[in-house]
Amino acid sequence: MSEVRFSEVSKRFGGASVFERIDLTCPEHKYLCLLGPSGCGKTTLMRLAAGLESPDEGDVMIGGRRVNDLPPADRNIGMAFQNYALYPMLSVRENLTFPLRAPVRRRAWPESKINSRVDDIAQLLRIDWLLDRPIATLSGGQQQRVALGRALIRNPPVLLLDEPITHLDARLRYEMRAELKTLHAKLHTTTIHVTHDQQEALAVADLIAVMNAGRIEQVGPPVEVYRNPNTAFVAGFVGDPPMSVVRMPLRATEGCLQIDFGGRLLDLPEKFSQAFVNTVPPALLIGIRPSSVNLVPSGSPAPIPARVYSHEMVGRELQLMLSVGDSLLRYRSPDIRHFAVGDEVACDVNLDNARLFDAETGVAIII
Amino acid sequence: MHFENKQSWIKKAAAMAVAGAVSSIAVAPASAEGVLNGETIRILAIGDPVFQVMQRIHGDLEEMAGGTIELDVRGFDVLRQQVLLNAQNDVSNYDLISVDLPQFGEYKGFLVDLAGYVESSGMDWQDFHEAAWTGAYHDQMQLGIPIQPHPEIFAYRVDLFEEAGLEPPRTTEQVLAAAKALHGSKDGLSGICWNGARGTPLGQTITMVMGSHGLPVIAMDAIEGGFDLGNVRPENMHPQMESDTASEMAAYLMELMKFSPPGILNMAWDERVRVFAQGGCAMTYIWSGRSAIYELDEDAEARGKVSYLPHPAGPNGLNVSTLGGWFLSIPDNLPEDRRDLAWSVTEWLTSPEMMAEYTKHGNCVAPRHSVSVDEEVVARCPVIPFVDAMATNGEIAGWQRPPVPEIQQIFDILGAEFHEALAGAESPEDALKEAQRQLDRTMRRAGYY
Amino acid sequence: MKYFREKRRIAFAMISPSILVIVAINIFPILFAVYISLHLWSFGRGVPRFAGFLNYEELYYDGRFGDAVLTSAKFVFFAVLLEFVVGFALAFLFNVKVRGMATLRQIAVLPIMVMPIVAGLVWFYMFNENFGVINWLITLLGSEKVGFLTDLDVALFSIVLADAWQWTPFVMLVMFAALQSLPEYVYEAAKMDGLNAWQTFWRVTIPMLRPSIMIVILLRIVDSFKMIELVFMMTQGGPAGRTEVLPWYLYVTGFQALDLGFAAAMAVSMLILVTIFTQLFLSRVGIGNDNK
Ligand SMILES: Nc1ncnc2c1ncn2[C@@H]1O[C@H](COP(=O)(O)OP(=O)(O)OP(=O)(O)O)[C@@H](O)[C@H]1O
Ligand SMILES: [Mg+2]
Repeated sequence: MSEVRFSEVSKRFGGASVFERIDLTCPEHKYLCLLGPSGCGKTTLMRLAAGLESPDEGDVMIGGRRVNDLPPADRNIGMAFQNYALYPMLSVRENLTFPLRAPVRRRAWPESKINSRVDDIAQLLRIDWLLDRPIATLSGGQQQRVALGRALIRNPPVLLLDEPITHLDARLRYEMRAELKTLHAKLHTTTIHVTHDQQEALAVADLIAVMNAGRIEQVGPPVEVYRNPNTAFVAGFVGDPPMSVVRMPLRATEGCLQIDFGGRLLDLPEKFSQAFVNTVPPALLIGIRPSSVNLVPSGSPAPIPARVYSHEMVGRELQLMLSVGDSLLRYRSPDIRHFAVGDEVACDVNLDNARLFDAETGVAIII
Repeated sequence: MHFENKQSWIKKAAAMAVAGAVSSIAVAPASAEGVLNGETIRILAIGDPVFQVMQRIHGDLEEMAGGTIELDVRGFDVLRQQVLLNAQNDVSNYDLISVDLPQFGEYKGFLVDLAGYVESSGMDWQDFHEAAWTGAYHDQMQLGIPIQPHPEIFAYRVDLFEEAGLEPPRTTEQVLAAAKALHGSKDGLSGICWNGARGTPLGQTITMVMGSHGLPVIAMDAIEGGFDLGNVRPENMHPQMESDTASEMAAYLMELMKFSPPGILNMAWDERVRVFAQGGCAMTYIWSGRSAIYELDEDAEARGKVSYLPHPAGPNGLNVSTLGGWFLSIPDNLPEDRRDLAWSVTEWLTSPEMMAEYTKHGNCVAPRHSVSVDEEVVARCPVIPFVDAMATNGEIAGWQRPPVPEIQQIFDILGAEFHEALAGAESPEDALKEAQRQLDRTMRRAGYY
Repeated sequence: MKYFREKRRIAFAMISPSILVIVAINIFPILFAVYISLHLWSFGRGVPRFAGFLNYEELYYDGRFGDAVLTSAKFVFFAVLLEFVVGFALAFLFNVKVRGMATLRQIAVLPIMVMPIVAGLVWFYMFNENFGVINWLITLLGSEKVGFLTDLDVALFSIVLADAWQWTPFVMLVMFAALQSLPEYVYEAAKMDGLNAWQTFWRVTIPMLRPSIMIVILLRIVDSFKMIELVFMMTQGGPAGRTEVLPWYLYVTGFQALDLGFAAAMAVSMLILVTIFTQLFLSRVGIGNDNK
């Protein structure tokens, strides 16, 4: 009984609206990652769930119960704040025990269990050696783990984690990711985890909700969101590197649709053409995966002329931005070669895995 | 004489700031005919009425003198420290310093003997009240010229006394009887005002009242009509607070408490005069010069209804008022070539004309017979002829407050210890005993015996 | 290594002037006071005589000194208590965001600007039994006059009140600034933990304000221990010594009686008392030592 549901929720600060009539559900026992760029309203949504803000319209439901007027402590949730919100005058241990000893939960936690619980959590988060330090002397990442620990310590049925591991180094982040996942596998706590790191989201989530400018763009399992982005925004946001979402002129010749790639016309695959039997949209956006772009020797037949716009090493591969016509395409080079900005190259694009979006609404054109 | 009282302290601070500004921009007046002849004179002064008058008429004064007068006005404690510090300098910073009558004992080692100047300039020294003049006579030296000495005397409301058919009180017994009769006889009227505040005010009250009971607080030599204040030797330093006279004095003060206005335990200096002025008490002990507070105030209830007597005498005592107040003296580290000028200024500032001038501005003090008969002066300050008569009758003396270096400690110990008795925290006997013990210790510490 | 040694030498050269200044203005007067206290030294009366610990011995047996220490302790206790409680409460009141509060706050801190000696004068007249406004009001209401400055049991509290009038705004100001700087988010954590207003106050606000509270209390203790102006203007130690605080007794012996040796012994003792007290205080509350 711990499903978290936002139903037609609107929230405004003064005149500025953060979101209007938003709907989102995190089913019971699921691990939902809320993914979105900075400022899109993720924290606000969490605060609404926690009860630190109240919605201007709509309902917040937890476990099927409307909790709009329930004070935070009565919602029985654990929250890790994005800014930690630790008690600065207390030590790490005191911060961790504070929720257990809080007057409203008197007797819920016998003293005998408190210490072992603190030790367990501290060990899990690798902060056992910091337990007696005052908060002020901790590094940002250490504080973040204490904040996470404080959210976990009571083992609440609902967890709200607002960017709980963003400030850790890569290795630790990786470890913590695994710990969170293991923990969830064991306890099945309904969890909403805010992040702007899509790798993190793809790694831990049962469900990913992509949020943009106060709108939920797509909710679905990671693979689904990754494979079939519902909107141009999701397409350009999810994936590493994500799709290139470009606007290319569309030509209709003899009942066949073609796309103009810098002068070279490519046939739109059959399946897409069927979508336009009756109407042709005024403008289209095409999402092209970097893996669908290939460089070809300049002598090969009918290449697309392109120019190297930028290049960078990412991990063990080389990523290029190619400028084609007025657009930029991402390309991952399988081998490390030397490129200079401005080099003339020739490429080929495979449109079989491309996604088409309505340029007006950004919505995918599903066939 | 008035120790810095609470109110004047503030005025003084302001006045000092103003005086500082004035003296720094003072330009020598065009006329260079007066006593200064274009020169500058520096005076270390006390914030008491006569010097406050000088501050008020500073411009006129400089014009009259034909030069610059730098007046450094200080509070009592600071003045004393500065005088003592100045005495340690090779060359004095001041041409003239103001000295309180009981301070001559402490200062006599570094003041110039003025006898020669008095003689050569032909100053009419017999015009001064004798007690005032001899108050500065120590070890066969004339150490200062009186400028504002006045006695602490006794003032009473003639109208109230006549109404009640009471005799002017010349004895403590009469004082208590009158106080009893008048206390509470009118709304807000108390019997008598006096210095009951802890510390120096009460300490002075005790020394003076003990004097009018017949003994000084230390064992000075008795001489014709009083005690020898010009020649205090170590063996004279024994305190006498366990004498019968001290007990009589204590009993009298304890009785006074019953007929005193509210707040008597914190009453001092000008406050008692103000309460008297507004009709809050029928009698008051008062430094004669301060009668100006009501005599020059048209709104004061007591104005024109007051008569004066010397301190009422105790059972075995005498009608003798204590002389106090200020003298001008020349420090002996003043270079020879400045001394003539310093003397000329002293002569001028203590002249009958100037003394009459001071009375115009709220200083009802005239220690010279010739000024005391000046009709205009008398009209302004009715108290002056009374004081003059007391001086002539030998009812003014200075020995009640012995001029010894420890005088301030004496005031402080008496004023602190006996306050316990007045406040009812201790019996008068115990308070006197404790005071005696502490005074004795002080004298031993100072090495007298 | 050598580089650091060199650096330290330069650093030392840089700070040595300030060390000299500290020695000159802090250490030297104290040493000089100790020196004087070992002598029978009466200003302007012959040469000082060495007296060993005589002054301290006399101080030890001087009942008036003991009384003054007690009176000082009483005064400090009540004054700081009153100033703190009221100042703290006012800080909370002023923390409420209401229009005009800023102006009110500025008015409230005015007493701090008043010279203590003037404050003493004002309160002397307010409490005076013959001219005082307060007693006038009391009689208007038909009650007996109160001996604010002459009643054995009241006088010290009158001085406490005057001191509180002047310094409560200071406490208020410091606490107000401290309140303003408290992070909002901690209160959200407290909400999540279900603390009510009262519990939040005691478990969150007070602990977070603790350093400021300790500093302000320490400042007020040290400062009120040195208070002399109000006694000077209002009671001169009366009635019957009930308001004779240590600085006033020191003033009487040192600046009126000019018994410098004795006064210096008293000053040194006072310094030792204050130092011990503040050190204890600081170490107890754990501020002031930077290794924590
Ligand atoms: N208390 C507030 N008052 C006014 N505007 C607010 C308030 N809180 C948030 N906002 C605004 O609401 C929007 C969403 O903020 P929110 O903190 O939810 O973003 P976020 O998605 O958590 O961003 P980030 O990833 O940077 O944490 C922002 O434009 C922000 O400026
Ligand atoms: Mg956020």
